[in-house]
Amino acid sequence: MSELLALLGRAWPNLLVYPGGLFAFALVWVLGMLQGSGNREAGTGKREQGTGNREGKRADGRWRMEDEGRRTDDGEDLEIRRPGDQEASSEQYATQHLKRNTQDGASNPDPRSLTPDPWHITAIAAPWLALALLPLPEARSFGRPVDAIMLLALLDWPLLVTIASEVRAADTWRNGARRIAALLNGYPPLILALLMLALSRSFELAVFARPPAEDARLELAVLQWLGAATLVLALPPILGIGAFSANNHRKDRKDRKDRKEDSVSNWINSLATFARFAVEQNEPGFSNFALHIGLRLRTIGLTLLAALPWFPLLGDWPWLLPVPPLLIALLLWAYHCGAVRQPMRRWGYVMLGLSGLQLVALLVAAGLALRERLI
Amino acid sequence: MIRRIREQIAARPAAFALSGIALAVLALVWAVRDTPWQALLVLRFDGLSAFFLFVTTASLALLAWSLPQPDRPTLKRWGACLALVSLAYSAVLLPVIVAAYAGLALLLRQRPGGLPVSAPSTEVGDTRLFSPAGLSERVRRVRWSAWAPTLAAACLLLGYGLLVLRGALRYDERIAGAAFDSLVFWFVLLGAIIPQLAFDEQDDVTHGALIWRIAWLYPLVRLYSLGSWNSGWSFATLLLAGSAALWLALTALTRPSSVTRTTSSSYLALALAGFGLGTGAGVAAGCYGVLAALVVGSLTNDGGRTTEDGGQGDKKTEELQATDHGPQTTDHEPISTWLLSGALPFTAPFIATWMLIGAATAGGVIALAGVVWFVALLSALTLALRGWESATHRSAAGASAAFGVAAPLVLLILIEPVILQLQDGLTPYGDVNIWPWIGIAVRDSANVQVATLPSIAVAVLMLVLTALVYLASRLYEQWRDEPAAIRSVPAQSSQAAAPSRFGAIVAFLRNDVPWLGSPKPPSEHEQRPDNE
Repeated sequence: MSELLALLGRAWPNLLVYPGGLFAFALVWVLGMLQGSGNREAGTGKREQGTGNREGKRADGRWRMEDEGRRTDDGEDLEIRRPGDQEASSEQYATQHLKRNTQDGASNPDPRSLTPDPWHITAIAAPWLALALLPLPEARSFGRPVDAIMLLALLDWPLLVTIASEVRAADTWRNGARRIAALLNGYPPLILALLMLALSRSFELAVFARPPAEDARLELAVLQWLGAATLVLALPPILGIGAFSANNHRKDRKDRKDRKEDSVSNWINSLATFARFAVEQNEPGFSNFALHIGLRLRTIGLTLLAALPWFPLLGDWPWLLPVPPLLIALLLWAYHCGAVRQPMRRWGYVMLGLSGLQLVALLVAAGLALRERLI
Repeated sequence: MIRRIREQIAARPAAFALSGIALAVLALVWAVRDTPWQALLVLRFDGLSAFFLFVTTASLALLAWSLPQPDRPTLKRWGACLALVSLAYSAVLLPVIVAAYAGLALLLRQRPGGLPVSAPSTEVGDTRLFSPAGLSERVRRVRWSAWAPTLAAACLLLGYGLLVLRGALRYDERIAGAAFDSLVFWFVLLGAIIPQLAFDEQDDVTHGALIWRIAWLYPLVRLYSLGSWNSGWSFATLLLAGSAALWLALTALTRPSSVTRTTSSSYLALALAGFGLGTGAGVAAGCYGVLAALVVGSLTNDGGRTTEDGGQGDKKTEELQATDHGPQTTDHEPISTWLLSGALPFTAPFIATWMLIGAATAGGVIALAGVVWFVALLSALTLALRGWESATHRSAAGASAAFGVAAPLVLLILIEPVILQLQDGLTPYGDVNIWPWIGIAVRDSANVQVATLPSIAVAVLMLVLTALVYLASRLYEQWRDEPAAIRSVPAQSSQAAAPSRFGAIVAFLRNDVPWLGSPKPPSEHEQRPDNE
């Protein structure tokens, strides 16, 4: 019991300052700023363009999807809002939202919903805790090792809550389905990458952040670096960017092609969508805000997890430590810009091929290890 | 007060009786943790038999508490089931074990309510009886789940019967180890795997299906008392159990009904894989998987019905099958679902999969670790997609959270005696480290910690952060100062009336995920996304 108390006492800096707490929320804020600047540019550009799904910031500071001319499954008109209508009051939006929900049969508001849904609260708390447990450079040790299996479960929690919310709403279920499809495409290479990292040693995160031992067998060292590389490659579907974006419906892709935007506004638009990683606005209040923050924390956590094996390379240049996560973010953005117009299935095949290669590498390494054990 | 207690006991005599028995068995587990308890030369309670007995009685007690009155099987029926299972777990004589399982199979074949067990139909016509089409039709009409107990009992009879024929009457005799060979193993393995795969839409856990599925794992695990397994047997077990778990998880994701039932079966298949590893960590993962299946399986007690349908569950299930749509979601509080989904750390299903991933990695069976991880994701996605189908069993959700957070204590009290007493039959490629009040770790043969989970410490930290976020949320609401009418829109308010779009989502997934198969052409009732 005393060890538990000591462990909890030592965890405060990790939870509140670095890598969780202030550091994590500062990154969330930076992502929000990127999204905001991108959307302002996108808004002015789109005003003159055709129709399609748009995202814009509302006057009350919340983000929502602009969906023009689409209907819900029930044939009901969705609220139509153009980027120029961003000044519309939140009351108007909320009234329409309430009306729609009331028509769906929710005529009696539930008094319990005056308090936030506990699962939406945990959608922030879980990835926050995961970030705090990451053994980043200069972070204090947690005291007891933590492994990647639990970390991944904590990071994925907001996404599952988001999917559960989205697939139940008439106007967002497609996004939920796309998120599931992206996860099903991305999880096989992600799992195999983590297994490659773990096969040589352990699932412990602190071990991920160490280079292969000097006396390690060659095939295991190669496997570890392959695992680190494929972990980065598995990130696009896991983060839902590029072809795996939740809002990347076929209609949007066609619209973008028709619009023939110049390359600069294209890149700025993609910066906004890249930074979003979040849900469409379908619920007012804290729940939606919590999912936004939770998904951004998840994005940051997964990017830092992918950067973890690369930190040891910069051991002699500590001032270069931010380079691996920034480089990974840059690569992801480049991928997003290049693939956002492409269908998910095509990239699903790429992920399938990647999984096949990983599997072959794993089997070869496991076979060699078994032969050594038998000899 | 006393009168009220008496009334409660009179209303639920079986529930109280079984809860008392479960507590007594827990005491038995504690009593035999160091030394097995032998009685009358033919009865023997060791860690393994006491663990399985505890799981059975706890499962029956959960059933008794959570089932509505009309669905509760009679005390006589449950008493018979419990007596047979207890006899099977405590007997040392192999013929007695076989007889107990045969009796259990006979008992389970007699469905309550007079439902006949289906026999191969001859309605296809005498002229076509032996034609390929006729045979195919007959095979299709056989309800395999109804025959599974008989098949499993027959396999066990052959497996244990071979041991008896070779002179091993008791499993603790030295000759039993010499008589244990591949033929015996294969039959016992088949006896263990058949019940995990046989499930029926009309089959119902309320009638003991979960209990007997768990029970069929015991004869296989008992083989560790005879001697260690060779690597071929382990490989076969891992292959069969891993494939079964993956298939069951995919079935749960894409099948319109029986989600939780299939999910609990997939956890049992994972438990079987854990036992197949033949290491201390593997047996620990297997035992914990059985506990996870127990708590997840107890969610299925309502047979797929929701609380509002007033006993129309069967009709509803038929409608769901007919329309190929998922069940209507309800706006129940989703606590039970999330705590039983395996997505959230500190819950029993998550710990079960985590332990098995660690054990498989420690044992060098990396492919199994990947399969288990993927099964865990599928199970979580299934429940996220299907939602709170029957989220009324808070007792099961509470048990899941309690077992998950207190995993080190559960391992220490319930599972460690099993590992210690089966140690002679296990290999050193993986073991479990228990840090009481902190968490658990799985280590390999070189004593390297392969996976570590400080479950209690992390759960406490999660609690602290959740409280912080809750505080922030209240401040946020005050700052926003939104009208109550806006905030009072329930988060899932559109769920109750929204039509199920499960079929459309599955079609969507087939379209975007290559390994799920080729895209399915849209049917009339499936709204294809982006069909412009």
